[in-house]
Amino acid sequence: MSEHKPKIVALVCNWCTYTAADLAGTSRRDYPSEIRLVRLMCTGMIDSKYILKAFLEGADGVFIGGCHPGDCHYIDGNLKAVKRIEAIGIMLEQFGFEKERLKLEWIGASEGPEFQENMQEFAKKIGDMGKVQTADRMIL
Amino acid sequence: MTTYIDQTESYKGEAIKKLAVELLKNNTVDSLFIPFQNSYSGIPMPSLISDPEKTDGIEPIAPVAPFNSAKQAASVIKYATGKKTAFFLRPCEIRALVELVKLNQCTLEDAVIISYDCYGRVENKKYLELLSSNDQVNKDFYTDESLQNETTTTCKSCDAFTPLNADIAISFMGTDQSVFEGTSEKGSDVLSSLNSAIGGSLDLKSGGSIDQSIVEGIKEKRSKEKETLFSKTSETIKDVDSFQKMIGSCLNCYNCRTACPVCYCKECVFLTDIFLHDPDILHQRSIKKGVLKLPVDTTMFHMTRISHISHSCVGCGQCTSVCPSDIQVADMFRTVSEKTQEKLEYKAGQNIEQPIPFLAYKEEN
Ligand code: SF4
Ligand code: SF4
Ligand code: FES
Repeated sequence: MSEHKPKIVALVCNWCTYTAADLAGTSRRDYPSEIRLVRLMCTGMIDSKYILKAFLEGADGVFIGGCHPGDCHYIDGNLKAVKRIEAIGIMLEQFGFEKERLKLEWIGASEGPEFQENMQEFAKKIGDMGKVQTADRMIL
Repeated sequence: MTTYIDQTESYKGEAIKKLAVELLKNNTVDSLFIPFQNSYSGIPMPSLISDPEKTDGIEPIAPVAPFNSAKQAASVIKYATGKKTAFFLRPCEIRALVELVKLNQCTLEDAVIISYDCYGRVENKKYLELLSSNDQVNKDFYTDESLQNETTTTCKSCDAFTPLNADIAISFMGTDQSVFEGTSEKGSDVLSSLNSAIGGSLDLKSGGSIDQSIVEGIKEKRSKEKETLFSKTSETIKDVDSFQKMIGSCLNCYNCRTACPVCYCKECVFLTDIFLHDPDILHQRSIKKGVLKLPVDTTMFHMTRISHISHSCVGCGQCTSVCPSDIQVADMFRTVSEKTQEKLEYKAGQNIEQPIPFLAYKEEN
């Protein structure tokens, strides 16, 4: 298990969580290298396809980061995301994906340290969980 | 609510047909949306009928549904036209129509929805086979248990077979007669105006009662079937490995998506460039795992579709019916959907006032 270096996809919104990542960067707060950041305009544009694609391609975890409620650049994109991500989680669980592998967090633009903490924590947890079931499997 | 009974016929389809024809003759509605056997098709097809003289082919309760007709119904009431139409639909078709209303695909303003206790349907192919040896199959189905045994796995395990959200509900489980009930103001008005207009011709009389214990008995039996089916299916999809065994023979024909009444996108993303990969991507994916099954994205397709519509799946079984590879698509959709809907506190097709879960967001924590 210790040999396995997890792959984590983080889908973050441009206006808050990505800005927080930027801030973490300029303050020299690094985050685990197993995390691949994907910048989106808003969490409200996240479709289940993005999450499924990541998991089917062997991602061990998917992190979604957006603005705090009330702060979404597009007013309520993050609120729309909540229900959708909840539904995707319910579905993933039925197909045997542990629900901890998908996480949604609000990280504001000024929260550089919080960004770092969240990334470290998530990477640790996913690392401890071991390989995702799709890792070495043929996917139809 | 006043209920009415029809005492003239023993075959319930006749009573419904008479109701339909009278609605048209009396100008209570401008048209009927109802299964109609034209001179070309073996299977009665949903048809829009506006001439009371051309109603002979009406077969309101033939034990077949060539497709879930909600999408076709929605096309007639895409927007209000002022033309009143009576829609004769199965309970699962109403559920799908309700979902389409919530998705702004149509409006019920001009619609009167009439439905009945559903005994289930047989597959199209089976129906044609039965019809070729028995031209009375539509009628016989309701008295012959061996014919009822031919209904689909979905129907046999469907416990939502009584009309919900109809304006007029016709009961024939738990009664020898056909009991018509106005289940909304609109429906009650239609029935009472019709009753005074036509008097005896339909022999509609106030009265009629239903032995609920019989309906409950059927419900219990079907619920049990459903439980068994769902727990078996949960096992079959418990992980990606098992799931892929279930869909291993899928050819990505997307029939299941086309047949689905609540998969309403005009252009499905799986038909767009996003899933039309360049050769280098295919090679890259092949190298990654050693073998790449073609066409690609089969697991992706099914899981995406489940995630897109499991809150709206009405459990009609049409996706299984159209699969050329005999994949029990509906079993997995129904199984996942039941859990999704339970957890989202939403039931597809049930409460027309309740917005679909993804639009019902509020600022909480
Ligand atoms: S997924 Fe299948 S069972 Fe569910 S509504 Fe669509 S066609 Fe009917
Ligand atoms: S109808 Fe059957 S073969 Fe066609 S896409 Fe659906 S599951 Fe696959
Ligand atoms: S812009 Fe950040 S969640 Fe919408």
